[in-house]
Amino acid sequence: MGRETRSMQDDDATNPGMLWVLDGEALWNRKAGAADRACAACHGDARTSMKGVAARHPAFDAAARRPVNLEQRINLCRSERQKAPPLAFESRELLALTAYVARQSRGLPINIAIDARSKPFLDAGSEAFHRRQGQLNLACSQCHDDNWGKRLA
Amino acid sequence: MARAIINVPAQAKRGEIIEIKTLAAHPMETGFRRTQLGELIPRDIIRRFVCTYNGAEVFRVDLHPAVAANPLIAFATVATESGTIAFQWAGDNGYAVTETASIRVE
Repeated sequence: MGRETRSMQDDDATNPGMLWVLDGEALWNRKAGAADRACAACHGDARTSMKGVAARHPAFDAAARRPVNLEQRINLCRSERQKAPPLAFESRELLALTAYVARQSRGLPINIAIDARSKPFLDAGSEAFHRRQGQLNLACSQCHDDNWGKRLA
Repeated sequence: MARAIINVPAQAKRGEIIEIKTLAAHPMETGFRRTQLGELIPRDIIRRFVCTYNGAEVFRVDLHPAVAANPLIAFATVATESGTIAFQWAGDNGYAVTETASIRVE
């Protein structure tokens, strides 16, 4: 991303995504579910407890025996810990909570664990990334690896 | 839920030009879009934004459907005296939001 675009993105006053981050902060502190607990009840202040969390997701979940991304992790907490129904993908609430949690990892590098458990999934992802598919018979890697930084036309 | 983000400098020198940025959370439904089934989604937009500085109006915007969702309204005004800068948004379906910010002018 160009320097000007990145500075526009980083300007909290004008980035509309901040509306979701603020909503997420409100939801973080709101009690939910049959257990009547807020995220804050277990996790405290997200500014400290959630630092680095988004950077290491998708992370392997032992119970599910597969990696889960941040949205799935939030929903797992909702259903198992808060005893609340999981939030629909792309709903305002889930987007807001995810944006708020991800915000706490701002500036941190991606830090996904590469180990024996996650390797099969990473390999499958890499294979899909390099596989030609679709009407144009293109692989993801052809644009995003071989031609990054350029424009389509 | 977050209704608006406002950005007013906390303090300024008398006569200084300050920049104010406001971002309102609103879908700004144009009234021209249709659902997958072909039904028209009714218009739902912010119609008016007014900024008052210690009660006196300093800036006003009339919005139309062409304005995109979550309108960013940024403008400049002169810092005349310490006090309250109030922002009012009014729109369809009884949408009415008021936010205030304080400014200290030396």
